Parts: sequence; C-alpha cells; structure tokens
Amino acid sequence: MKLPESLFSRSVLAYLPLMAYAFDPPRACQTALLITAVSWISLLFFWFTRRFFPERFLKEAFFLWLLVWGQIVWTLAELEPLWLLSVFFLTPLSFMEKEKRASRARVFSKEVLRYFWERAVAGFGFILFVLIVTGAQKGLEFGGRGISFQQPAVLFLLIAVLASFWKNQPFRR
Amino acid sequence: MSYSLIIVAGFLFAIRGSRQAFSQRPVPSFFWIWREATDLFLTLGLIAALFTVTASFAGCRGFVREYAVLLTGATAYLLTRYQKKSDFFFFFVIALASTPLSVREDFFYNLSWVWVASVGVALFQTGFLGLRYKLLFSSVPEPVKGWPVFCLLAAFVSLALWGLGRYVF
Repeated sequence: MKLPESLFSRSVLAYLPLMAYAFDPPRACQTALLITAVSWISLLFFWFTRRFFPERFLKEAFFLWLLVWGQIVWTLAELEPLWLLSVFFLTPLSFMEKEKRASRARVFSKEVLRYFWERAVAGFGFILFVLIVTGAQKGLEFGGRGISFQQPAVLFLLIAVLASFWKNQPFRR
Repeated sequence: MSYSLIIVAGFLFAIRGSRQAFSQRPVPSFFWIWREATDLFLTLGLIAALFTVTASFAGCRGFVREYAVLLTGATAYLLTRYQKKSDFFFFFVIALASTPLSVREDFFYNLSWVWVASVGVALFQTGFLGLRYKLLFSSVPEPVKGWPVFCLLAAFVSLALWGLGRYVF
C-alpha cells in the first residue's frame, strides 16, 4: 500500500511544536491525543456550520475557536498554547477558502466521506508518529543511562532517521 | 522547554515562514530574517507591556491572569493582522508570549525572554537557511533529500546554538 507523501509531512509538522514538551514523554502522548481530538472536533464543527458564518469572518472564527480551546486547556491543565499550532497543521483550512475545491463541496455530500477519511488517517498517523518517537526516545534513554533527550538536536536526528526510513520504504520503489 | 521552543520556532519559520524556503532556488535573505526577528521582538514586547500594565491594576489582575491565553491571543491576532504577518507568526507570538507570562509578571524578565527568543529564532534561521543554500551547490544523495536532510541540518544548528544557549538558560 502506498501512503501519500503529505501524510508524513503533516505528521512531522504537527509533531514539531510538540517537541517543546518532548522532555516528558507521557505528557507528549496525552497532548498528542488532545491535539487529534481537537482537530477532529474543529473539522466536524466547521464543516457543518461554515455556511452560517459570514465568509469574511470564517477564518477569524476558526482562530477564535482555537484560542478558546487554548484557554480551556490552559485553565484545566496549565498547558502552554503551543499545541494549537499542531491543531492548525492537522486541520487544513482549504474547505474555508473560496478558491479551493473542498470549499465548493456541499455540506452533505459524498465528498464528506473522502475528506473526513483523509483527516482521520492524518490524525491516526500523527498519533502513531508520536508513539514511535516517544517509544524510541524511551528505548534509547535506557532508564537515564543512555542518550539524553533534553536536547532538541537528538530528537531532530531521530526524526531524520524516521524520515529516511519513510522516504526509502520498499513500497515506494 | 524555553530552548526547545526557540529551536522549534526557528525551524518552522525557516521551512514555512517564507516562500523563499519553498522554492527550488531559495535566496536566504539575511535582511528579511532579522527584520522578522525585530517584528517578533516588538510584537512580543508590546504584548508583555500591555500584560504588565493591565495586571498592575488591582481590579483587573485576577481577570488578566485567569484569561491570559485568550487575551494574549486576541492581542496577538490584532497585531499580526495589522502587520499582515502569516498565521505561523500569530501562533508563535501566542506560544512565546505565554511562556514567560505563566512564570512571572516581571516586565523586565519578560522583555529579556522576548529578546532572547527573537535573537535565537533569527540565529537559527540564519544558520539553517545559510546551510540549506549551500546544499543547493552540493550533490546530496537522493535518499536523504527533503525531510532527512532538513532534520540533520536542524540538529547541527541546534547543537551549535546549544553552546550559546548554555550561557542564557
């Protein structure tokens, strides 16, 4: 099975803001789940309600929506709002932009299934990517006796190795 | 977290902050990078000043502290749109502004953090885009083109900056 190239890029881009929390793997995994859930909720909400917003203010409404989520999570868990950027990467705004094909699709149409399936795969791909990186991180630390992941450089090297595996996977040849 | 945040911001600004990084022949504009850093510093400094001034009123302090993300975000959005900046800029302004505000309300502490963050982001971009530009003239093997080589460059630049960062963090 050949997976789309954009899936990996999307996962890496969404993971990068999470790197700032990566010194704490359990928290990184919880945040990844939160990011995916918020991105799916945002997509569902805006796909079905986008016609109710004035076209000019749709993007503004989306940012305000993200800010409200940031505030809620900040109040409940004191999590810095950098995770909103990951949500932004996972939730493409193409269906809000007039010139894009997705924006011309009817609210209830066959296009919805395909579109939501792609977003669901992106969400699961992102969670899987975070689990792989976190697992590798835990494995290489050897209970504090191995590599230290306090340095973002080590995480970049790990992502470089994963990216290299992805780019050279046998399915693509 | 502060150091990682600066590195991540620098990397994302470098690969998604401008169209130059997208194109096949990017021209790393030294002036553009430092102008963006100055804008980032001024925007973050203004938000920190507004936060400090508003929090100095006894009646507002509780409200400002409780709704820091929402208020910071709304201010960041207005300032970003006024300057016609990208969506990335908006998100990083929120992230970079919220980090010191969550620690303490000292204006000069916040301002020094904002200065370090802006200079750090600019230094990272300068190093990263400079190396990326040099790579255009080298024969990079096909299997490592794209994300692998980008991440390798980011790792090297962040290691180099760690030497400087040790004196700050």
